Amino acid sequence: MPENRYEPVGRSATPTPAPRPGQEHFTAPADEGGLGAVDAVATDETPTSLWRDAWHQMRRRPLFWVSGTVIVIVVLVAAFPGLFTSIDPRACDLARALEGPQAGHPFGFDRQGCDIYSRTMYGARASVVVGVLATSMVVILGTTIGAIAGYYGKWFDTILSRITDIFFAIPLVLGAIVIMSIATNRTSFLVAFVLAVFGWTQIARITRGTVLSVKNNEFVTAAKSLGMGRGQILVRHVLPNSAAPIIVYATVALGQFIVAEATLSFLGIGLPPDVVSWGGDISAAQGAIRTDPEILLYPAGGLAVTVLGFMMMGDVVRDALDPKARKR
Amino acid sequence: MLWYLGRRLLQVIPVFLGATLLLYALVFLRPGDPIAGLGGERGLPEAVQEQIRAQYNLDQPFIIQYLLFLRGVVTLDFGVDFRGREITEVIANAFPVTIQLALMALVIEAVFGIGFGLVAGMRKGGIFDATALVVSLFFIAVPTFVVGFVMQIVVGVRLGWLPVTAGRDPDFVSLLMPAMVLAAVSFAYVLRLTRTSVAENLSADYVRTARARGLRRSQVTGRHVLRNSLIPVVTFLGADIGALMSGAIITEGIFNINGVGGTLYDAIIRGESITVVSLTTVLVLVYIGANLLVDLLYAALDPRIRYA
Amino acid sequence: MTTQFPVSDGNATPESAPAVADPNKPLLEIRDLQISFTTGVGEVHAVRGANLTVYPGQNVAIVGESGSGKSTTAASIIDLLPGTGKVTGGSIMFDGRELVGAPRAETEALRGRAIGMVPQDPMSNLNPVWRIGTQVTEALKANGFKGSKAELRTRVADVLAEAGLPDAERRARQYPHEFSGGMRQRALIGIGLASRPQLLIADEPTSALDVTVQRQILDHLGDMTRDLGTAVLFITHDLGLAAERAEHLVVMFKGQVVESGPAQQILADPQHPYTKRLVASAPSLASRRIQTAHVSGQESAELHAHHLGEKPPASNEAVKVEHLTKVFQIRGARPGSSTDFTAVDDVSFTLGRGRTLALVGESGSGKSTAANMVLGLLEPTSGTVEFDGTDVSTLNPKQAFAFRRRIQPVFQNPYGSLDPMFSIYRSIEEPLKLHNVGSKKSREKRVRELLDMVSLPQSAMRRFPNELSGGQRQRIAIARALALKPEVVVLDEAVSALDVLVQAQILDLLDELQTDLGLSYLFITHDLAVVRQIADDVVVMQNGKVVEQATTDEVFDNPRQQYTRDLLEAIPGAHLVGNVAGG
Repeated sequence: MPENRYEPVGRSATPTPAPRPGQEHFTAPADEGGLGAVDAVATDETPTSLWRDAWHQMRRRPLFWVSGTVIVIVVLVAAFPGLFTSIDPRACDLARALEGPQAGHPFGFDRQGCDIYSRTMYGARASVVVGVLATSMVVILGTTIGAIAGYYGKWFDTILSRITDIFFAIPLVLGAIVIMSIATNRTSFLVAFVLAVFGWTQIARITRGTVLSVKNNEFVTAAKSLGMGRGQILVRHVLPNSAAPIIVYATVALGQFIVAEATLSFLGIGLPPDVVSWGGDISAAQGAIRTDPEILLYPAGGLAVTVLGFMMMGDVVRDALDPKARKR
Repeated sequence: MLWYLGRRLLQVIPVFLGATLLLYALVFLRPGDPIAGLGGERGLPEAVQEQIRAQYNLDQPFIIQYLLFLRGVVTLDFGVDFRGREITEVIANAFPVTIQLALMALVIEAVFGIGFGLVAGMRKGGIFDATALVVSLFFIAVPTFVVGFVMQIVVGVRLGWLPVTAGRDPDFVSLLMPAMVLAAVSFAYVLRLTRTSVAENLSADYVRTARARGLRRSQVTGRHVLRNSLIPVVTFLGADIGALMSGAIITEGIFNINGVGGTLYDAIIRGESITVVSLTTVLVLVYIGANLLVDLLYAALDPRIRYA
Repeated sequence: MTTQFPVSDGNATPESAPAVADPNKPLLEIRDLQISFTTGVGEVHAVRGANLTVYPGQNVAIVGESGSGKSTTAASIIDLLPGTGKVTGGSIMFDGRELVGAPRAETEALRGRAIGMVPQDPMSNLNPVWRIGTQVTEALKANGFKGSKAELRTRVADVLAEAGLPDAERRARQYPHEFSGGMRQRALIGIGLASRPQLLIADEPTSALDVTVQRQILDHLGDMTRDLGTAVLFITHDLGLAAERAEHLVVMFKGQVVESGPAQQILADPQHPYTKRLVASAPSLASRRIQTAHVSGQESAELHAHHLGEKPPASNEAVKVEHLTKVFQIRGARPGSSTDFTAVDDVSFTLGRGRTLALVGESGSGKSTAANMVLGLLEPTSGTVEFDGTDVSTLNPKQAFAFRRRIQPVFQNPYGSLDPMFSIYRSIEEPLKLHNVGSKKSREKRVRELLDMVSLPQSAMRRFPNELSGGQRQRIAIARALALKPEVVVLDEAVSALDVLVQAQILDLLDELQTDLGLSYLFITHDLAVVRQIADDVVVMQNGKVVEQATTDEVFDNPRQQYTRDLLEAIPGAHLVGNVAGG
């Protein structure tokens, strides 16, 4: 590179006045500052992908460990309730109805004389199964529809967005109540399916918005200039970069679906009575609310802790994946 | 502006048609006969069933049924229910108390949600913020009916501050507790939304520039931070009117209020499909209307999209 | 338009008028300033021991790259440090008063009234929900304006008119989004000077604007502050601009003042190694095309088989564009209504093999649209793009796919041009994989080779884009573009977002690669200063049309069109360049 040298023109007629106090020519010692290191690549640290970065951020948060522990325990209880209690939740003895806590029965008995502790443990399964099923369906359906609408645009977008609007116009719980009230064969799968049918719109809208902004990135244009096909670009570049908000929303949605399932069961139109569920048990406890409110608190507590666990995890994940909080 | 309004109104029509068709189809196109289940264990005589079918156009092809139903919606004449009452009248009786309940809940969630959200957002990362976040999560995680029961036990029975149930023709005081319960979840969302929005706006360039101009901190907070943060919050609140009305089904059940929720629940239990569809249609209309209102509010609050 | 600016706003006390201040007493004196930020990994010292003096009515400029602490220093004067920033030591004396640790009310009183500010980005510094007039009113009221409503309205219109906004009364009733960038910046300047401060902090006041607009606004700002006797503290990354607008320069690097003194002295005789490099790299001060070491004969030519320094004749055409036109339909507010917008209008040019053609224009000139058509990313409305003698539009899909290998782009934004989910290795390997080049092993060899080519360590390939700096990412983007051994590279504002020194490095790299690989560059830019450093031929575009087209030397030495002259004139520091001893 040639050194530029200047001889000022135009203003050269006026001689430079002597600098005023405090404005004399000053030069810092040359050794400081590390000029050579302007643009060096760090070679010692391990490389960090965005996911690894997010993981490093998350594991520093106590909230992550609290919610993570809750989720692990709840999932364990849901999968193997027998590990946590040896009492059959359906073995009830009316004679023992509303008896208080005692040895072997830490929570006491409900109005039908069933062991509350056992029912609380076994109730986890219904909530987790419905929540996970509904969330999976919603993520698959919503992501597909949102991604196609956002990425392909034009009439795909027009039609899919109108369909989304139509489903969005029916509130989740209202729609689910109407359908479940006329359903004949109520199963966990059906409940999850109905919740998914009315619950996918939010995720579709989020995906569409994210895809719209990701597809304007220059790395997408660069892939196009390589001759990469549209579908390939969508799968390889656009979708992975749209994943963060979808994951965050999915954890929150999981909690919401668990609440919705409990609401349906509470109304008596969710899971059938022979399935042990927290919503159903809360509903059953309703009659004794003035005399024995505590029998209601156990299933309600289980429900709250589970949902809280997923929601808190959603908060932590959102903070960790927030592009604004990322370094550089 | 007028074109914007016109375009939005036009967009509402297909959404309304689609949503009602969807609901109608889900209720009437399901396997099984809605009429055969009536009349309890014994069922109704064949002749009576036929008569009911004719009365509700159930003997017509599905699409005709739907169009006739739609005519009813447009002319505000939903016909009579299985017990012979005018459905329009049933709706007219049910709505006022639900509207009152929803509006009360709206005010509660707006005042407390925005208030706490503003404080939390201004001091993001502080103790108040952390507490507000956990409390709001708690409200989101605990189902409405549990909040309702706990409030009944604590505020109603133990403390005796407010009536435990509302009953018929409830007054303002007896609707207070149901309104709080109904507002609980949305309150949490409003709080979180306000907080995020305030925190984001606090670091916006124009807020810094406003301070550089010499504005006092209170002026900057009110005129710039809060004013701009309210845009997403107000749109949320607008859309929430519709959600609150349909969410009232649980709250009304708990507090024994004879509003839309109670009536709907009643109709569901009795298997009166036509009443269910009619009530739901009106709720969906309210919901769509609220979302339309939100779009207009948005345009009023944010000059950038006024002529878009 | 008025050039007389009333010094008093009617009720300000005469003492506060800047003219009264003693011209021989420093207005602002910063001594040994220390500023640090608290981050997750601990304290970060953003400013270390900065010294700075401004006299009344004087123009002083702080020059530095991003991260040098220049804006932080300025923000600390009016206590507006972002986030966790805190002054941890030193003193800031303003007009005889200590500002470090001053109570909030005192600082608030100073802001606007004694010290005004013109911020960097006009797009984000006006509140979008309030009318322009309201935001001016706010500033006036906060700083003690006590007139009637009518007087206030008149004053608001005056403020905007002074800032050079015609039809000020109507403008005051508009919202920011109805203003262009230049108009917004004028409004911000009007607000900054509305209460007649003694000092105006101008933080990169025009870096977001087109060069011609930038010049007009800086001229106007200069006139206003001169007439009002306001001292100005410029914050800028552009040495040329600083030297042109200020008599005293303060050069900052990594939080420290490395050199300060009279502007002309620093420019003519820089002492600190950093300043020397800065002066050498500033594109606005350069006047000749970069001549790589090979050409100037410092490195032996026999390293390369082909003749270096002798460019192939221009008749050897790599890309030939003829009568290229692109019309976009803009949907109107009413349904069905639409207007045609001609983004590129009958543009013809030829890119010679092994040469660099610069497509120059301001925002909206259609230069990027034209580039996208050359890249085959956009279908032309009419006209042809010929690549190596073949009309690109006649290619069948298979041929079109193969054609992609021969022409590759590098984009502006070093943060958006690499997929953040892909490791550097995957990013560079992707083109090879897609076009089925070689085995896994040979591809890895090629990636290593490419990293060498762009002077990055091979270990960088395991990293992810977020771990690299802007300049490094741009090197990766260049490596990816070169992976398939293309003949033509389209550089769309490829160096515009980079700091001066990094920009100079990348330009050197590009030139070296061109010489080594015989590449042809289509260089899209808004920055004429860079053009002189890299291009052989220039096409000047305005509003979609070609205004002037010639060799670089001709355009710079003998511009034929007024618009080209305006552009040249607008290069900051252009007239500071005298005799340059070329290589």
